[in-house]
Amino acid sequence: MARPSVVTSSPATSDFVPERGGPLRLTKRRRGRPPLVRNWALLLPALLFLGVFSIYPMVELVRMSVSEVNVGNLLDRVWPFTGTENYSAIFEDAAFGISVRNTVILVVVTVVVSIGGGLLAALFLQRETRFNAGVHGIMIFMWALPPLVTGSIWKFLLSTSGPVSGTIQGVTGAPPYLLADPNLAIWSVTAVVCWASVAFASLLMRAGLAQLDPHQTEAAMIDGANRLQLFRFLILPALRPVILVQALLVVLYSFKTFDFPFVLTNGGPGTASTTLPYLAYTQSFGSLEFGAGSATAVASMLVVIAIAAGYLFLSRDEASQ
Amino acid sequence: MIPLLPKWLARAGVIVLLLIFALPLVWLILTSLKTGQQLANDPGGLIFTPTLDSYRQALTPELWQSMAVSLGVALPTAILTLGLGIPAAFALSRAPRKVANTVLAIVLVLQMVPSAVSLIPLYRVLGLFELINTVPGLIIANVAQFLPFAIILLRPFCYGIPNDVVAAAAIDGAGTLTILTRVILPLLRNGALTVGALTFIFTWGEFLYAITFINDSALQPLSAILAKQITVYGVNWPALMAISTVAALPLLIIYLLVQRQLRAGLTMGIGK
Repeated sequence: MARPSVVTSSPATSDFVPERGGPLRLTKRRRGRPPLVRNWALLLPALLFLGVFSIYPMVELVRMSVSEVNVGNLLDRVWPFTGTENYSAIFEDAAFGISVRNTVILVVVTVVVSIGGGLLAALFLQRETRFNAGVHGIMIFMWALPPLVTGSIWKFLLSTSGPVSGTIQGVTGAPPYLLADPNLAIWSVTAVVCWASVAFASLLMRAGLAQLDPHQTEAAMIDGANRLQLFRFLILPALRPVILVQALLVVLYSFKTFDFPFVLTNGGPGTASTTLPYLAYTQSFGSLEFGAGSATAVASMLVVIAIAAGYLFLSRDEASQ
Repeated sequence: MIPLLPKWLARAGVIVLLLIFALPLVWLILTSLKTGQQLANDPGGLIFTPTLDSYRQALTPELWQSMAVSLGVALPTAILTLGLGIPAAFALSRAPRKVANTVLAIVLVLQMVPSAVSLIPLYRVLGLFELINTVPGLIIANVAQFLPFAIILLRPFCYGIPNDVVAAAAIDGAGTLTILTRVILPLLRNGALTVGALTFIFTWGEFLYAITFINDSALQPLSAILAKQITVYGVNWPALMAISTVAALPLLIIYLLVQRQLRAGLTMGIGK
């Protein structure tokens, strides 16, 4: 159902111009020369834009992380160079360790829950009925809604006077402080991030299930395979590439998450639910220590680049299969 | 393939999914229809006399103004992202493997930068261009945030465009711009719709850049106002839920219009 309707052809490796000897040629100047010039012209505006507003800022970020930068000299051309001072300062701060721990909790739990939950949801929704399409539609809508909106609903639901806390209180007798208890806050934030990413994960998983070869399943069932065996030996291996891509997407999605902690707990109480990107933000725009904030940002970017390398490595692996 | 789970189990599971994902939405709307008093007496209550009080209270001229700003930010952001993203994605789909992979690697890393991180140096860079506290500055920051994602999502769609069609248009004398708008854009309809709608939706809900780069309250988009309301101590829930409902409504309309393409497009774009 969710199968792409327009394009299914395999990636074309040819250039703008048809294969050599083809009847049509776009550039008539030199035979056999790939029309790279033209391609660059199409690529240039985007690259130029990203160069100025994405790549150059990253260079500035690194420069800020080794300088003394505050509100007063933020727009100066040069800043006093301080070497690794910012880095040693942030590593000594207890908030850094807490943020690393929180980031790990958030990312690991979200990946596990959203892969498991997304797969389960996809299996529940496997029959292509109108009702299932409607439910899946609601799920994707909730994912697409701004975390600002869904986060504020969850803040209400999880608040001390909210229905979720009320239900828990009814069971245990004591009111839980899901968002205000330093030991619980990061788990509550993680639960909400999981909620959103299960919906997101179910999208690819459901499409992956729909693309399985029905003949294979039939053959396996004629051979007497039970449901568990079907899942273990047929569906799971077939979904492996989808699961891998999804896992990496969720790692990045949860790592980048800023809106949910901002709305739900504001990173608190104290720094109890602060993640690395969140810490970089509070250092820069809360305590206005742009140098320290940049150092934290650079440190968390190194994590991201490591993940990116893994992503590229894996996708190359999959592509060559 | 034949559905794996027995019908009763799958049906039960779907009902659970419906509850988990639809109930928050139901609560959003119910709470927005309560008075503060009703909410204090029975926060989770389902039976009450609905009132539009909080909508009357929340829908101030300032809120409409901020919605206009949101539209004025989100629409240009979506258009600019597509305008830069489509040619780039097309070029990448035809470029030699090495070039394409290098550019793609850069774009991937950029896509992974959390907005809380890019915010810090962007504040300086926009400051250098004197774009702080301006709508164009906010649009630029948003495009920079969503363009890598747009390129990644659009690229798989570009493989479906036959070289012959482009070459034929070129032989008929069409220029690059004509080919882009008259040949490539229609063929990328689903991809462009997906990316355009998502960019609009994400920009509509983006608040971090908005609260950081914009100080002038007249220039603040709806998301910034919402973000400030949420973080104050002692939130007025009915009013907040009313604003949230109002903020979500345009997105619901867009979603209903493009949901088929959006789901297919997302699957296509990120699956490849």
